[in-house]
Amino acid sequence: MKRIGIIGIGKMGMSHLAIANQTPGLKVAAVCDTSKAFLRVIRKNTDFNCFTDYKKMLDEVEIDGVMVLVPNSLHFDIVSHCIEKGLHVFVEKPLTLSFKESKQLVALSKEKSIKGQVGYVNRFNAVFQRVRKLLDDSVLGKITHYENHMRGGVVLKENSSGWRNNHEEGGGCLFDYGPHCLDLATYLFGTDVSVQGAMLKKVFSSEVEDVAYVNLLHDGEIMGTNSINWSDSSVRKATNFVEVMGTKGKLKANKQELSIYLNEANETLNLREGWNKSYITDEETAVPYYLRGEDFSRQLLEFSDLMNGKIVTSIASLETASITDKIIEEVKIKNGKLL
Amino acid sequence: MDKVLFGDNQFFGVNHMSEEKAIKQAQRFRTPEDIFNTLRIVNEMGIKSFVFTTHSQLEPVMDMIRKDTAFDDFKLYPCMPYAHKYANALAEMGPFDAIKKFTPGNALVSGVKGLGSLISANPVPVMQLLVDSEMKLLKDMNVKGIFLLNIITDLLLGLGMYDILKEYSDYVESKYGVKAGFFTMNYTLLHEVLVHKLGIENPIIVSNINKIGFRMNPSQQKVEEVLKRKDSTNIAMSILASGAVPPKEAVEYIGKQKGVQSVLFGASTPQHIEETSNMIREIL
Repeated sequence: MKRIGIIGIGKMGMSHLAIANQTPGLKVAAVCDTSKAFLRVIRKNTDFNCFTDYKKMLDEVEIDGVMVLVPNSLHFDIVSHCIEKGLHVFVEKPLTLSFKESKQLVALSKEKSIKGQVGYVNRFNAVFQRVRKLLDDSVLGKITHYENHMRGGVVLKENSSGWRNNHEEGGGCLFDYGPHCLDLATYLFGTDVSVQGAMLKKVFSSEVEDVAYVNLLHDGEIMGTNSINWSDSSVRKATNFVEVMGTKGKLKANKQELSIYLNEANETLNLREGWNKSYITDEETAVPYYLRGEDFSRQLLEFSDLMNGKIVTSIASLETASITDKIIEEVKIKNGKLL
Repeated sequence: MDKVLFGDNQFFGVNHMSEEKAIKQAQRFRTPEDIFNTLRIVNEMGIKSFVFTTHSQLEPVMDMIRKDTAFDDFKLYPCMPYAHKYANALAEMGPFDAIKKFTPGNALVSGVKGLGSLISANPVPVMQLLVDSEMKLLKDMNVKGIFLLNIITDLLLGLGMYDILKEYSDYVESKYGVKAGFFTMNYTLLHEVLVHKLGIENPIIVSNINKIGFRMNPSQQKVEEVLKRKDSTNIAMSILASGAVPPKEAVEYIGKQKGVQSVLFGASTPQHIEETSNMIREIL
């Protein structure tokens, strides 16, 4: 059993706290938040040890790791402090707001031999994991190109205020939303990646992009277009979907469903020539505790396995997450101006 | 509790398996009249229980039901809180008008109750306010149970805030004279807390129970074991696992589980509704 401290219990923090509290192998020893009113509710109604200063929490409570769930602009300072203290770290995405800082954290984690994981929850979705396996097994032959989309309804009317409208605080769809989409691209097509071009466009926000197109090249040969849009009013909740083309066929996937088109039947995998369809219900999805979808539970099961030494590296390691920050930085350099 | 309870997911484009199917369903139910017409058919078929989230789109439907005497023996099981409704209202109207919209009667009294709750760090008065405001929309209607949605049940469960589950149950029973129900994605965990830790007698639990074990946590086998104890009223939902299990097989599986009292299901077409409900009635 490993003891953890949770830093930041806002909206995501609250559900992470509940999930961590029910994850085998983890014991939530303390929680920390700067909002005193919020903390009072936790203190009064639960047995968690509460702090308003995370440094004090680290000094006073014996823990093996932390979950850092604070605003993006605070990630670097808090995560580096925790790593310096020799604590294993789970941090919400993105790792930091600059590739330079992310690289520093990766180097520091190696120097201090700490284990890290970033909250790229799509990597724990059973359908996307199935896609990754199919690609690894070359079921589609040689992958040539892909289209990868993320849609959601976050900014749906004119907006000229708040952190979402400020790049320095991690606003804009590329920073806030894009990481999930771009990380899915590196998960499926590899981290040997470069930005070939990008366009960023405002729809409702006054200072930041609401839509982004990012063209990526993986391993010097797989080309992909990634389209990110957080101003889509038709979408009930954030959705990711990807279409992958290879020499033997193609596939289309989102978090719930997978369609595979094969030029010839694949008997080993029992896939027919033409279309094959499967659903999330065909995957093994049971979890010890469910709150917002099994992907979130599986994500923390991995953090538990990581801390308890059952696995050496997380599939959402600090290193792979830093590549997503690199892509975003390259986009900023290459895109020219906000349209 | 009736054996067959009609649900509302199909009205709002919710399908856990397929976004395409969800879009198709949403197109079928564009207006309150579309929803009401389906409920009218359901009522005529003799399905007399409707379990629904207190979605804003249902408000006009409730008015239609209230006015139609054919629905006099139609039983309502509201599920709350529908969080999106509050979030949307806050964003669209601002906090002042949102509070006015949702608080029953005297806004000052609710304000004091809410503020007191904030100062004392006790979420219970806020919970009571939410229940009261949702029930205001169903005034004088035939409400037979008030259910807590799984996002809240499971959050409280995960955080270990068990007492609030008990407070909810007690409040619903004392103020409205009906039983509380709990939706959950963690059947065995919740069962343990409600029955053994809180001592609630025969609590109503709504959870996924289906042949392929979809979202039966922590495992299908463990859920089946606890169902057999028969110390809770168990309502099965997602028996078709969003369409992955054919209706006949789905219902046969439910029949084999000793301990399932009712099935909550939704369907869009009268034919599907009738076929499924007939099968459930035969087997339970």
